[in-house]
Amino acid sequence: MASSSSSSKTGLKKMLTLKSSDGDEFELEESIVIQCQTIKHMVEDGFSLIPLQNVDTKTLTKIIEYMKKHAEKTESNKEEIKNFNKEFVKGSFDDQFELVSAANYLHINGLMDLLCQSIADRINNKSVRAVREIFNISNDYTPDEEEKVRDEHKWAHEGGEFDESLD
Amino acid sequence: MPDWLELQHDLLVLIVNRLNLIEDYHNFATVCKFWHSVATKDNFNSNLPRVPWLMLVLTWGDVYVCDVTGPKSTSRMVVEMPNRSMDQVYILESLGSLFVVMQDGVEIRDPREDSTDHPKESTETHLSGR
Repeated sequence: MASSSSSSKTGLKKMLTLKSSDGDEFELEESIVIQCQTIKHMVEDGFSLIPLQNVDTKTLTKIIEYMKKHAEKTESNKEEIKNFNKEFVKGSFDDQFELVSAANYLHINGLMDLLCQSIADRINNKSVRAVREIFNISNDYTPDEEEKVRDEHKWAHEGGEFDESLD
Repeated sequence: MPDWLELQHDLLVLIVNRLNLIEDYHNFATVCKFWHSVATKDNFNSNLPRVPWLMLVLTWGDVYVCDVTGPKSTSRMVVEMPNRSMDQVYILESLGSLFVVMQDGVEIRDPREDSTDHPKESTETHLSGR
Protein backbone atom coordinates (compact mmCIF):
# COMPACT_ATOMS: atom_id res chain seq x y z
CA MET A 1 0.00 0.00 0.00
CA ALA A 2 2.72 2.45 1.03
CA SER A 3 4.71 2.05 -2.17
CA SER A 4 1.70 2.54 -4.45
CA SER A 5 0.62 5.76 -2.73
CA SER A 6 4.11 7.24 -2.82
CA SER A 7 4.55 6.46 -6.51
CA SER A 8 1.25 8.12 -7.41
CA LYS A 9 2.30 11.24 -5.48
CA THR A 10 5.46 11.63 -7.46
CA GLY A 11 3.62 10.81 -10.68
CA LEU A 12 6.00 7.97 -11.46
CA LYS A 13 4.35 4.73 -12.30
CA LYS A 14 6.39 1.63 -12.43
CA MET A 15 5.94 -0.10 -15.76
CA LEU A 16 6.32 -3.77 -16.59
CA THR A 17 6.51 -5.61 -19.87
CA LEU A 18 4.68 -8.85 -20.52
CA LYS A 19 5.85 -10.95 -23.43
CA SER A 20 3.51 -13.47 -25.02
CA SER A 21 4.55 -16.85 -26.40
CA ASP A 22 4.29 -15.30 -29.89
CA GLY A 23 6.90 -12.71 -28.90
CA ASP A 24 4.58 -9.69 -28.65
CA GLU A 25 5.31 -7.27 -25.83
CA PHE A 26 2.75 -5.38 -23.75
CA GLU A 27 3.78 -2.55 -21.43
CA LEU A 28 1.55 -2.11 -18.40
CA GLU A 29 1.53 -0.38 -15.06
CA GLU A 30 2.67 -2.55 -12.21
CA SER A 31 -0.51 -1.77 -10.26
CA ILE A 32 -2.57 -3.50 -12.99
CA VAL A 33 -0.36 -6.51 -13.41
CA ILE A 34 0.03 -7.46 -9.76
CA GLN A 35 -3.57 -8.77 -9.73
CA CYS A 36 -1.87 -11.76 -11.17
CA GLN A 37 -0.18 -13.66 -8.35
CA THR A 38 2.41 -15.39 -10.54
CA ILE A 39 3.63 -12.07 -11.95
CA LYS A 40 3.46 -10.38 -8.54
CA HIS A 41 5.98 -12.88 -7.23
CA MET A 42 8.24 -12.27 -10.23
CA VAL A 43 8.05 -8.51 -9.70
CA GLU A 44 9.00 -9.02 -6.08
CA ASP A 45 12.02 -10.94 -7.34
CA GLY A 46 13.03 -7.92 -9.40
CA PHE A 47 11.85 -8.86 -12.90
CA SER A 48 10.49 -6.12 -15.16
CA LEU A 49 10.30 -8.07 -18.44
CA ILE A 50 8.10 -11.07 -17.93
CA PRO A 51 8.06 -13.81 -20.55
CA LEU A 52 4.87 -15.88 -20.57
CA GLN A 53 5.67 -18.99 -22.53
CA ASN A 54 2.27 -20.57 -21.99
CA VAL A 55 0.15 -17.60 -23.05
CA ASP A 56 -0.30 -16.59 -26.68
CA THR A 57 -0.98 -13.03 -27.85
CA LYS A 58 -4.69 -13.55 -28.41
CA THR A 59 -5.21 -14.88 -24.89
CA LEU A 60 -2.90 -12.35 -23.27
CA THR A 61 -4.79 -9.48 -24.93
CA LYS A 62 -8.03 -10.71 -23.38
CA ILE A 63 -6.41 -11.17 -19.98
CA ILE A 64 -4.94 -7.66 -20.06
CA GLU A 65 -8.39 -6.31 -20.94
CA TYR A 66 -9.74 -8.09 -17.86
CA MET A 67 -6.96 -6.88 -15.55
CA LYS A 68 -7.26 -3.27 -16.74
CA LYS A 69 -10.97 -3.22 -16.05
CA HIS A 70 -10.64 -4.91 -12.68
CA ALA A 71 -7.87 -2.51 -11.64
CA GLU A 72 -10.55 0.22 -11.82
CA LYS A 73 -12.74 -1.60 -9.36
CA THR A 74 -14.10 0.58 -6.57
CA GLU A 75 -17.09 0.48 -4.26
CA SER A 76 -19.19 2.55 -6.67
CA ASN A 77 -18.73 0.73 -9.99
CA LYS A 78 -19.69 -2.80 -8.95
CA GLU A 79 -22.53 -2.86 -11.46
CA GLU A 80 -20.21 -1.80 -14.29
CA ILE A 81 -17.71 -4.56 -13.42
CA LYS A 82 -20.52 -7.08 -13.28
CA ASN A 83 -21.65 -6.10 -16.77
CA PHE A 84 -18.07 -6.22 -18.00
CA ASN A 85 -17.72 -9.77 -16.66
CA LYS A 86 -20.94 -10.79 -18.36
CA GLU A 87 -19.72 -9.47 -21.70
CA PHE A 88 -16.27 -10.94 -21.16
CA VAL A 89 -17.51 -14.54 -21.17
CA LYS A 90 -19.92 -13.97 -24.05
CA GLY A 91 -17.26 -14.42 -26.71
CA SER A 92 -16.31 -17.68 -28.36
CA PHE A 93 -16.66 -20.59 -25.97
CA ASP A 94 -13.61 -22.28 -27.52
CA ASP A 95 -11.47 -19.32 -26.37
CA GLN A 96 -12.38 -20.06 -22.78
CA PHE A 97 -10.22 -23.16 -22.84
CA GLU A 98 -7.05 -21.12 -23.41
CA LEU A 99 -8.26 -18.38 -21.06
CA VAL A 100 -8.98 -20.67 -18.13
CA SER A 101 -5.68 -22.50 -18.57
CA ALA A 102 -3.81 -19.18 -18.68
CA ALA A 103 -5.72 -17.74 -15.72
CA ASN A 104 -4.80 -20.84 -13.77
CA TYR A 105 -1.13 -20.56 -14.74
CA LEU A 106 -1.07 -16.85 -13.88
CA HIS A 107 -3.13 -17.27 -10.68
CA ILE A 108 -5.72 -14.61 -11.35
CA ASN A 109 -8.35 -15.77 -8.90
CA GLY A 110 -11.23 -13.53 -9.97
CA LEU A 111 -10.84 -14.55 -13.60
CA MET A 112 -10.62 -18.22 -12.63
CA ASP A 113 -13.91 -17.95 -10.77
CA LEU A 114 -15.56 -16.16 -13.66
CA LEU A 115 -14.42 -18.71 -16.26
CA CYS A 116 -15.08 -21.84 -14.21
CA GLN A 117 -18.60 -20.61 -13.56
CA SER A 118 -19.08 -19.80 -17.22
CA ILE A 119 -17.93 -23.30 -18.22
CA ALA A 120 -20.10 -24.94 -15.55
CA ASP A 121 -23.05 -22.95 -16.90
CA ARG A 122 -22.59 -24.69 -20.24
CA ILE A 123 -23.13 -28.02 -18.47
CA ASN A 124 -25.98 -27.03 -16.18
CA ASN A 125 -29.32 -28.34 -17.32
CA LYS A 126 -27.90 -29.84 -20.51
CA SER A 127 -28.36 -33.37 -21.73
CA VAL A 128 -25.29 -35.60 -21.92
CA ARG A 129 -25.46 -35.51 -25.71
CA ALA A 130 -25.55 -31.71 -25.76
CA VAL A 131 -22.56 -31.49 -23.37
CA ARG A 132 -20.55 -33.83 -25.62
CA GLU A 133 -21.35 -31.58 -28.60
CA ILE A 134 -20.54 -28.34 -26.80
CA PHE A 135 -17.18 -29.62 -25.56
CA ASN A 136 -16.48 -31.69 -28.68
CA ILE A 137 -15.88 -34.81 -26.61
CA SER A 138 -16.54 -38.18 -28.15
CA ASN A 139 -18.24 -40.87 -26.18
CA ASP A 140 -15.60 -43.45 -25.23
CA TYR A 141 -18.01 -45.83 -23.51
CA THR A 142 -19.24 -48.97 -25.17
CA PRO A 143 -23.06 -49.08 -25.19
CA ASP A 144 -22.94 -51.58 -22.31
CA GLU A 145 -20.60 -49.43 -20.25
CA GLU A 146 -22.68 -46.34 -20.85
CA GLU A 147 -25.82 -48.09 -19.75
CA LYS A 148 -24.05 -49.15 -16.57
CA VAL A 149 -22.97 -45.59 -15.84
CA ARG A 150 -26.49 -44.32 -16.48
CA ASP A 151 -27.83 -47.05 -14.21
CA GLU A 152 -25.71 -45.73 -11.36
CA HIS A 153 -27.91 -42.69 -11.42
CA LYS A 154 -31.02 -44.08 -12.98
CA TRP A 155 -33.45 -42.21 -10.79
CA ALA A 156 -31.92 -38.89 -11.81
CA HIS A 157 -33.03 -39.49 -15.37
CA GLU A 158 -36.60 -40.24 -14.56
CA GLY A 159 -38.87 -37.32 -15.14
CA GLY A 160 -36.06 -34.81 -15.57
CA GLU A 161 -36.02 -32.94 -18.83
CA PHE A 162 -32.64 -31.81 -20.06
CA ASP A 163 -31.88 -29.19 -22.62
CA GLU A 164 -30.67 -30.70 -25.89
CA SER A 165 -29.75 -27.37 -27.50
CA LEU A 166 -26.15 -26.25 -27.82
CA ASP A 167 -26.49 -22.58 -26.82
CA MET B 1 -10.69 -26.11 -31.74
CA PRO B 2 -9.46 -26.83 -28.22
CA ASP B 3 -9.34 -30.33 -26.86
CA TRP B 4 -11.33 -30.02 -23.64
CA LEU B 5 -10.06 -33.42 -22.54
CA GLU B 6 -6.66 -31.76 -22.20
CA LEU B 7 -7.99 -29.47 -19.49
CA GLN B 8 -6.04 -29.98 -16.29
CA HIS B 9 -7.59 -32.21 -13.68
CA ASP B 10 -7.60 -29.52 -10.97
CA LEU B 11 -9.44 -27.14 -13.30
CA LEU B 12 -12.09 -29.74 -14.02
CA VAL B 13 -12.56 -30.19 -10.29
CA LEU B 14 -13.12 -26.44 -9.91
CA ILE B 15 -15.74 -26.65 -12.64
CA VAL B 16 -17.62 -29.63 -11.22
CA ASN B 17 -17.59 -27.89 -7.84
CA ARG B 18 -19.90 -25.37 -9.43
CA LEU B 19 -22.50 -27.85 -10.63
CA ASN B 20 -25.44 -27.36 -8.36
CA LEU B 21 -27.91 -30.09 -9.20
CA ILE B 22 -26.98 -33.71 -8.58
CA GLU B 23 -28.60 -34.53 -11.93
CA ASP B 24 -26.18 -32.22 -13.75
CA TYR B 25 -23.34 -33.81 -11.82
CA HIS B 26 -24.40 -37.26 -13.01
CA ASN B 27 -24.73 -36.03 -16.57
CA PHE B 28 -21.18 -34.69 -16.33
CA ALA B 29 -19.98 -38.14 -15.22
CA THR B 30 -21.75 -39.78 -18.15
CA VAL B 31 -19.99 -37.68 -20.81
CA CYS B 32 -16.82 -39.80 -20.96
CA LYS B 33 -14.57 -42.03 -18.87
CA PHE B 34 -12.17 -39.27 -17.88
CA TRP B 35 -14.93 -36.98 -16.65
CA HIS B 36 -16.46 -39.93 -14.82
CA SER B 37 -13.18 -40.28 -12.91
CA VAL B 38 -13.38 -36.61 -11.88
CA ALA B 39 -17.00 -36.73 -10.71
CA THR B 40 -16.33 -38.57 -7.50
CA LYS B 41 -18.49 -38.34 -4.45
CA ASP B 42 -15.90 -36.13 -2.75
CA ASN B 43 -15.85 -33.63 -5.58
CA PHE B 44 -19.57 -32.96 -5.30
CA ASN B 45 -19.79 -29.59 -3.63
CA SER B 46 -22.38 -29.85 -0.90
CA ASN B 47 -21.80 -26.26 0.22
CA LEU B 48 -23.65 -24.65 -2.66
CA PRO B 49 -26.98 -23.07 -1.83
CA ARG B 50 -29.70 -25.53 -2.78
CA VAL B 51 -33.41 -25.75 -2.68
CA PRO B 52 -34.24 -28.30 0.02
CA TRP B 53 -35.72 -31.50 -1.26
CA LEU B 54 -39.34 -32.09 -0.60
CA MET B 55 -40.12 -35.35 1.09
CA LEU B 56 -43.37 -37.17 1.34
CA VAL B 57 -43.40 -40.05 3.78
CA LEU B 58 -45.93 -42.84 3.62
CA THR B 59 -45.99 -45.76 6.00
CA TRP B 60 -47.07 -49.33 5.78
CA GLY B 61 -46.43 -51.10 9.06
CA ASP B 62 -42.70 -51.28 9.53
CA VAL B 63 -41.93 -49.83 6.15
CA TYR B 64 -41.62 -46.15 5.38
CA VAL B 65 -41.81 -45.15 1.76
CA CYS B 66 -40.34 -41.76 1.03
CA ASP B 67 -40.71 -39.85 -2.18
CA VAL B 68 -37.84 -37.40 -2.29
CA THR B 69 -38.39 -34.68 -4.82
CA GLY B 70 -35.59 -32.43 -5.99
CA PRO B 71 -35.86 -29.58 -8.48
CA LYS B 72 -35.56 -31.99 -11.40
CA SER B 73 -36.59 -35.44 -10.35
CA THR B 74 -38.23 -37.60 -7.76
CA SER B 75 -36.71 -40.67 -6.23
CA ARG B 76 -38.44 -43.19 -4.06
CA MET B 77 -36.73 -44.88 -1.19
CA VAL B 78 -37.90 -47.49 1.19
CA VAL B 79 -36.75 -47.39 4.78
CA GLU B 80 -37.38 -50.48 6.80
CA MET B 81 -38.00 -49.88 10.44
CA PRO B 82 -38.81 -53.19 12.05
CA ASN B 83 -40.49 -53.03 15.44
CA ARG B 84 -40.89 -49.31 15.43
CA SER B 85 -44.15 -47.56 15.48
CA MET B 86 -44.73 -44.23 13.82
CA ASP B 87 -44.83 -42.28 17.04
CA GLN B 88 -41.27 -43.37 17.89
CA VAL B 89 -39.68 -42.33 14.65
CA TYR B 90 -39.32 -39.01 12.90
CA ILE B 91 -37.89 -38.70 9.46
CA LEU B 92 -36.35 -35.40 8.49
CA GLU B 93 -34.62 -34.22 5.39
CA SER B 94 -31.76 -31.79 5.19
CA LEU B 95 -29.33 -31.01 2.37
CA GLY B 96 -30.12 -34.21 0.56
CA SER B 97 -29.60 -36.49 3.55
CA LEU B 98 -32.31 -38.30 5.35
CA PHE B 99 -32.29 -38.27 9.12
CA VAL B 100 -34.17 -40.98 10.85
CA VAL B 101 -34.56 -39.83 14.41
CA MET B 102 -35.36 -42.57 16.90
CA GLN B 103 -35.50 -42.61 20.64
CA ASP B 104 -32.02 -44.10 20.95
CA GLY B 105 -30.18 -42.33 18.19
CA VAL B 106 -30.13 -40.73 14.80
CA GLU B 107 -29.51 -42.57 11.59
CA ILE B 108 -28.35 -40.61 8.58
CA ARG B 109 -29.10 -42.01 5.16
CA ASP B 110 -28.28 -40.72 1.77
CA PRO B 111 -31.28 -41.05 -0.55
CA ARG B 112 -28.96 -40.79 -3.57
CA GLU B 113 -27.31 -44.06 -2.60
CA ASP B 114 -30.18 -46.15 -3.67
CA SER B 115 -33.68 -45.32 -4.63
CA THR B 116 -35.65 -48.50 -4.50
CA ASP B 117 -33.77 -50.81 -2.21
CA HIS B 118 -32.07 -50.45 1.14
CA PRO B 119 -29.50 -47.69 1.22
CA LYS B 120 -26.04 -49.15 0.67
CA GLU B 121 -24.47 -47.00 3.30
CA SER B 122 -25.98 -45.54 6.35
CA THR B 123 -24.37 -43.98 9.31
CA GLU B 124 -25.80 -44.59 12.67
CA THR B 125 -25.00 -42.08 15.31
CA HIS B 126 -26.17 -42.83 18.77
CA LEU B 127 -26.90 -39.92 20.97
CA SER B 128 -25.04 -39.90 24.21
CA GLY B 129 -26.87 -39.38 27.46
CA ARG B 130 -30.61 -39.61 27.20
